Amino acid sequence: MAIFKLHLPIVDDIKQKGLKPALLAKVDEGVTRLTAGLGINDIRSVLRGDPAPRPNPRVKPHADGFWFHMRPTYYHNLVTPLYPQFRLGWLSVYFMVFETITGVFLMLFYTPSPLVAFENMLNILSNVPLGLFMRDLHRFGAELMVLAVALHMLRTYLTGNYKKPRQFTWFTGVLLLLMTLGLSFSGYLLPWDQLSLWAVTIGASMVEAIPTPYPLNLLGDQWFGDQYFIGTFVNNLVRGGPQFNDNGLLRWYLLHVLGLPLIAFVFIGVHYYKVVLHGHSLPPEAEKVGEDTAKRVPMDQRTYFMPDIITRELFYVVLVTFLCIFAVTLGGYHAPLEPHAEALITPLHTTAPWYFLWLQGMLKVGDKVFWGLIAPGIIFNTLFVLPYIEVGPSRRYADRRIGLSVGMVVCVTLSMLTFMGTPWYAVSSSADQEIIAEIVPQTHPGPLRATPWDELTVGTYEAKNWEQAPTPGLKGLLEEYEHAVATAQAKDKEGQFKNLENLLIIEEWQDGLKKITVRVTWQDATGERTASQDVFLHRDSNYGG
Amino acid sequence: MGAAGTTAPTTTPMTRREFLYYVWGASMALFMAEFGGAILWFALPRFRAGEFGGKFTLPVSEIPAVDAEPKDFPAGRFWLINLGPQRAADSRQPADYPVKEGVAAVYKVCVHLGCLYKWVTVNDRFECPCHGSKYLASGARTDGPATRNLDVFIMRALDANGNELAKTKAGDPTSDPEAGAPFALPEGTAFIEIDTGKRIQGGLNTKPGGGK
Amino acid sequence: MTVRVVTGTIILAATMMIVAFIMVNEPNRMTDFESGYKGRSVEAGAALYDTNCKGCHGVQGEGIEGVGPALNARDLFDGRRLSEIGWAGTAYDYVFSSISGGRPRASSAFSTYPQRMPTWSSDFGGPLRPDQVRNLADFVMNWETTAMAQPAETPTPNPNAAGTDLETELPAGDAARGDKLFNGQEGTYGCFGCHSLAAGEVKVGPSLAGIAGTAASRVEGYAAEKYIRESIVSPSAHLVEGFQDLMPKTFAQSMTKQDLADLIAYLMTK
Repeated sequence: MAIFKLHLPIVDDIKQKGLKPALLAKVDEGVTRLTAGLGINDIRSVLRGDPAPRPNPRVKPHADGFWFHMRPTYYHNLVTPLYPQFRLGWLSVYFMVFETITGVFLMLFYTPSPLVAFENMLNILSNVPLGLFMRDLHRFGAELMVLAVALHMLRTYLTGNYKKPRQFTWFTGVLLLLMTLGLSFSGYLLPWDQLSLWAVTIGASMVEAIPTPYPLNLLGDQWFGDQYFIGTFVNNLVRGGPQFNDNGLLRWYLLHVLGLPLIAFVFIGVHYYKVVLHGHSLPPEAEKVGEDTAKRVPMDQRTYFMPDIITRELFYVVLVTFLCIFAVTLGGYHAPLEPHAEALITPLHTTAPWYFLWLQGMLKVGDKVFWGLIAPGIIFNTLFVLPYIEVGPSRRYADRRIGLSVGMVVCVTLSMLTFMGTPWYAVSSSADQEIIAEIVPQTHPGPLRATPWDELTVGTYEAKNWEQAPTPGLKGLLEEYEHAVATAQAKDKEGQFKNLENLLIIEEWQDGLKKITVRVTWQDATGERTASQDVFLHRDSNYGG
Repeated sequence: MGAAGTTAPTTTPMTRREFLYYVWGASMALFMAEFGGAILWFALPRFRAGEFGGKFTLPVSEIPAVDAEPKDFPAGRFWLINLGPQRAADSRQPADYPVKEGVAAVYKVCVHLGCLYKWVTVNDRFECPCHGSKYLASGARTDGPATRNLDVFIMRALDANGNELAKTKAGDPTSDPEAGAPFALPEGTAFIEIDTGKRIQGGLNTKPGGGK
Repeated sequence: MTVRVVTGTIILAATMMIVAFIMVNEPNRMTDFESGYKGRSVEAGAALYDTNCKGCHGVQGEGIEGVGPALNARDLFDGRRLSEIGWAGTAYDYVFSSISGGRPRASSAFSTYPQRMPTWSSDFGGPLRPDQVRNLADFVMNWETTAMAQPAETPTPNPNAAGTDLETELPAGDAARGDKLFNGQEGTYGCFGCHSLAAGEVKVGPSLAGIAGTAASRVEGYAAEKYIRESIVSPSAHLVEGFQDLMPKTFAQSMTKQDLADLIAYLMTK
């Protein structure tokens, strides 16, 4: 007894056309829905490289679909080669996605507490399969992302693509630059080793220099007993206390995994939307001065997204992923892990990460309020308002001589400041400490720790007799020692350092453990002095030797 | 359906370029599979020795006396039982699951809904406080809503040099009476190693009073 | 276009091979890293030991008499020291907990080391982080090979030792010398440290005021001198009610017959 009749359209189709054609039609319908407008035949014609039929179904995913809506349907032929864009914007987004994926995987094994963060790093590197691989990829991607974003900004400046109507695109781009720097810097703190803690302390402590203007400083003195209370207040907010502690680490972790990514994703959306809205600008020489024809691409100048651009992008994904994986495996790039963070000991020659060396260089010039807060503030604010003050209509290089020269000067200054940020400039202690720091540095393994353990034969050696060293490892090490002494001697202008003796003493200390003493003896105004540093080296510790 | 795609999809022959795209697509799928496997390997938690989920090594001095009360090892979440002739002769033991004398490590978690059962000396058996499942020292269920006997961990007997002398047999206790069964420690055993990452489920036991 | 597709496929294949290669090598790399970091822990421990520990325990862990016991010692690693103090865990746990919490007072087994050991772990208010205490413990445990290579001590029987046999004859006792032995002016028996001679005062063990009288009534059939003698050489034989079995058992070996006789003579005057 049929109370109701089950009506399945598919059964009707099968009856009408036969099983195989009906199923194929169903699959085709599914594919069309999934791609928002392309059936199996359409996709195949894309893959074959057929010219687009009319009407062109390939524009439908761009018009109706979600994923393709943001991507342009076609590009101008002049913007598809390497020049003028060098794929740098694309690379920036690629690395953002790359970092998010590798970062989420690392989050599986990390807890942002000073009690366990370092142990988590050791666990990731020793007990998690592919932990080293994931961590190195994340670190490598971070460095490349900062580089890609910086180069992208430089390219955009040089080709004048910040001019009308793309001023706000540039504005959001500078914001994204700040997000990238913030993401990289906040991630730097998370391993909680000596390098993390002190490099980020140097950077973050600048907020303490925020001045408390008159009359607030008097009020602050009265109410809080602190006339610099604004700086103190902001510092406590940022670092979770006067110095980095468990609060600070948690705040920077939240910034790194939640706060900054959220803001960055929103502004990437805005930025890219505006890029597509106005179209990728053509090379400056291809347009009439003052005109922006990027959006109106003649039919014969079009490169369609499907299949050309999508194939290229897939190819770049494959290529860049391969290069990153190669770099961290066979290429030997490894993220460093220094000893556990010690809040009471700052290593000699602590430096900021390379993209902040310019800032550290500026800080060596003078007053930290001006050079640490005001000058960077001026620089970034200039970047923000650049398109609104530099309103010359032409993007041609010949018409932008001043702008290009200014850009060149800025690049050169940045390089100089970056050099000044390194420990080689204006940071030094006494000659003996410099020599010892050359052999056993406090920020990275250095030549002594990298020498193969078996080649450190027990005995006492003088640096100047390096050629008679019994093993090649010792020979190389003593030669470096001698070289460090010579450099210190050359730097010693006042003749304070009359070098007498430079020893390297190697003793057996425990099973598999050697004690090595680096001892420098010299004569100065007060008489004969010695300075020495003990290092213990275990057979297994594997610092890269 | 696509406007230009109403012709049957398989009529046009495949060109070389199209074929190469499919090959590339297949290799991307393979890469995703490889990477997926790598990520699963990456993400699966690993346990060090001494953590629950890892291996616990105990000297033989820790094993309870024959037929004594089971000994509690909370860190490893197991009871150590040492079954002798007294327990073998326990009249409450279900006939379907005769006692095998020897040492075993029984999981502390009740097989009903996950509570930790207790040893009740007065009644000389395990009793679960949540829904009243009751088990003998041998791990056999005698009463209550649980549907099987208690689970055991795979245990190895090691000599002083760490060589394996005996190991709990893996398998399904419902069909194989040797699977998961306690074993007498061979001569020369110095340590027992209980792998809390490898568990053998207890045999089916649903009859009132105990039995398959 | 086709070039890109082909090159893309080839690069993808190369990527897969690299990933497979590192996956295969990963277990070895992880073990290497683990032992590498164990090595670095020992190095860090060596530096910390040099700064904090060598003053009491000696530069090479050989110990300093009366200050700090030897750590580079066989009995720490072969289980003897652990069983002497009744430690139920591993040697590593013993070393780690000693460093973490320190030692507030010398135990009876270490009565020759009267100084306290400072607390080191920040968990208990000390100056070191828990990972630094782990480094130190790893460093101390690294002495295992050299310590186990030391010859096992066979206690040389002291022919003059008091011994536990209560019937052996003792020489004549000198109460005046016994006084000095009791009060620590001579010898290192330290009786006064646990036993007061003032009535009713309990330091660790029972007060010995009036012992000459009470000793006779303690055990049936025992003369006072015999009871006192047994209490010294076999302290566990008879415990006074309300007191634990804490008296050192070493006097039978370490005390000479003359010392024993002098002490008994002295106590018989109390």
